[in-house]
Amino acid sequence: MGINPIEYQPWTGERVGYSARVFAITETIFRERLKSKGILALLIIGTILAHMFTLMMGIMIPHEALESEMMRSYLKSELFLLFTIFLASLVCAGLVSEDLGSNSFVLYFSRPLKTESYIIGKMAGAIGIMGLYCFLPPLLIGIVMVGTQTGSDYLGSLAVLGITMVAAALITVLFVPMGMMISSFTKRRTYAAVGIFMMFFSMTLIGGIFSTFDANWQLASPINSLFYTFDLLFGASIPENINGWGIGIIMACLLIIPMIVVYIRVNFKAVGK
Amino acid sequence: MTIDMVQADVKVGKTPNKANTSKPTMVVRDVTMRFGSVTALNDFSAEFPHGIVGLLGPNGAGKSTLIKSALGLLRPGSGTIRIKGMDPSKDMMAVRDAIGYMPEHDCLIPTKNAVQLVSYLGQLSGMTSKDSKRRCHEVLDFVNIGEERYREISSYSTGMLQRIKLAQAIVHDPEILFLDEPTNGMDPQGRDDMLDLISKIARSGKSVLLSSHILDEVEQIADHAIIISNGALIKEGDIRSLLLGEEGLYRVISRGEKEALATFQKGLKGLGKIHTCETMEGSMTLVIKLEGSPSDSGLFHLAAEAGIQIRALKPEKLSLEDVFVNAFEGSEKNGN
Repeated sequence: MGINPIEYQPWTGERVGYSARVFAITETIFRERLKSKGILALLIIGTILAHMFTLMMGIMIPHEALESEMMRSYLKSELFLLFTIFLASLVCAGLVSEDLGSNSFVLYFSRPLKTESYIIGKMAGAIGIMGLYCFLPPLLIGIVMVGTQTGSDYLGSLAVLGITMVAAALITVLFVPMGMMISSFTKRRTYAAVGIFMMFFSMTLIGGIFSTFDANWQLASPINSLFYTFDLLFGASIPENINGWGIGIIMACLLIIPMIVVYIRVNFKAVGK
Repeated sequence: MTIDMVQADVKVGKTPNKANTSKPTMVVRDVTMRFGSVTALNDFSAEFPHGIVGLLGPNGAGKSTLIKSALGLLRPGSGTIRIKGMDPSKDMMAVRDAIGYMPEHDCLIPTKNAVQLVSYLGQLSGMTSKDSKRRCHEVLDFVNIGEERYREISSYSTGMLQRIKLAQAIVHDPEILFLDEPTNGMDPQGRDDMLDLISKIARSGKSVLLSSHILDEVEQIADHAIIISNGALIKEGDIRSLLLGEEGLYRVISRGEKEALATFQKGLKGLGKIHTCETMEGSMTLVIKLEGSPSDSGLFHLAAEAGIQIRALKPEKLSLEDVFVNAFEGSEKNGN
C-alpha cells in the first residue's frame, strides 16, 4: 500500500520549453554514467596514466612556449586513445540498446519529443562524459603549460591552445555517434560495448590489410583518420600518398552517417511494438 | 438529471452524465491506414466523447494503430484526426502534451526505480526537476506504490508494473488518457483497484480512452463504447443505451402447468417474435419482442386465459459481451 494514499490531484505547475526537456535526457545520461563504477574507474585510471604524466612533465621540464609538436604527440598517444575507445564503449553501449531492450521508446515518443531531440539529448550526455576525459584534461594541461612557460610568446601559445581545444573536441565527439549507432543495433548493452570496441579494431585491421594496395585505405580506420586530422590541425605533414580531402570526407562520414543510421533505427523502432 | 442519478453514477465509478454532453475529445473522420497489403484502419470514423470511452475489438482490429495515429506516431494515409481540435500530425507536440499514454506491453526501464523513472518522464513532459519530483511522489501515492518506489523496477510484480505505467501516464496531469489494457496480468483485487483508480481520474474531469478486451471491465466503468473490427467501426454508443438492447425486447418469467405454459407460449407467437425460450419444471423464461407496451399487447390477457402466473416481466438488458457478439454477427452479415 502507498505511504499516503490520496485522491487524484491535478498538477498546477507551468510547463517548461521543449529544449529543457532535451536537457533532461542529457542530464540523466550524464548522472547515470557518472554513477557507473566501471566508467568512474576508467576515468580515474585513464586520467592518471594518460594525462597526469604529461602534466607532470609539462610542469617540471622548462619550456619557452606551448609547442604544437608536444600537444600533437600527447593527443596521438596510444594510451590516451586506448582509454578513449574503452570509455566510448562503456558510455555509448547503453544509449539506445537499453531502450530497445526495455521497449521504452514508447515512453519517450508518446511525449512531446522528436526523434532528433531524443538523439541529441542522449548524445550530449555521452559527449559530456567523454569530455571529462578527452577535452577537459588536454585543456587543463594546455593552460598549465601556458602558465608555466618561460618565454613571452603567449599569442603563439594561445594559438596552439586553441588548436588543442579543437583537436580535443574532435576526439570527444568522434566516437559517440559510432558508439550510438552500434548501440542501436542490439538490445544488449554488453553486446553493444563489445561491438563498439571491435568496430574500431576491425576497421583498423581492414585498413591495414588493404593499405598494401592503396595507402588511402588507412583512412578506413577512424583512428588513423583522426591522427591524420591532428597532423593537419597542428601543421605537421601527412604522407604524400594520403589524400587530404579524403581525410575530411572520412571524418564527416564518421560523424554524419552513424547519426542518420541511428535516426532511422529509432524512428523505425519508435512506432514498432 | 437528478442528484440521485448523479450520485448513483459516482458510486459505480462512472463519470456524471453532464460530461457526456460536452464537445468530443477526439474526432476521427474517414481514416485509412495501410501497411503494405494490410489495412489497419479502413475508412474509420468515430467521435470519442468526454468521459470514459471503451475501445473494444479483437487483436489486430486496429486499436493500437488508432492510438498511435492519435499520438502522431503514425500518419494516416487519408482522413483526419482531431484531438481537442488539434491535428496530431501538425500539432504533434501540443497533442502529446495533452495526452497521457499507458502502453499495453512492458516498457519500463528496469534499471531505474519508480521515483527516478516517473520523475524523469515528468521532466520529459515539461515539468521542472523540482516539480516532477514532488508530483512523482503524489502520483505514486495515488496508485498505491509505497516504499517499493525506491526499489529497482526489475524487482516489481506485474500489478506494480501496471500501477507504475499508470503513474507515468498521469504524472504531467494530461487532459486525455489513453490506457491500453490497463489491467493486463493483474489479479482480481488488483484489477478492481486499477478500475477504481481510472474512475477516480475520470471523475476529476479527464477523458479516458480505455482499450480492452475484458468486456466486464469496460461495462463496469465506461460511459461510452466503440467497437472496432478489421479497422472499421462496427458499433458505438452510450453504454446504457447499448446494454438496453433492442426496443420492445422483454424477458418474461412465468409459472404454471406444463400444458398451460405450452398454450401460453403458442399464444405468445401471435404477439411477437420469441428470441429464446427455456422451460424447466413448471417455469418458463422467454425473451420476446413485443409490438408496443406489454399491457397493450394483450400479454396479461393471454396469461390469464392460459392460467399461468407471470412472475417477472422486464425489458431485456444485454451484457457488453452480448453487444459485442451481436455487433460482430451483424458486421459479418454486412461483409465487414
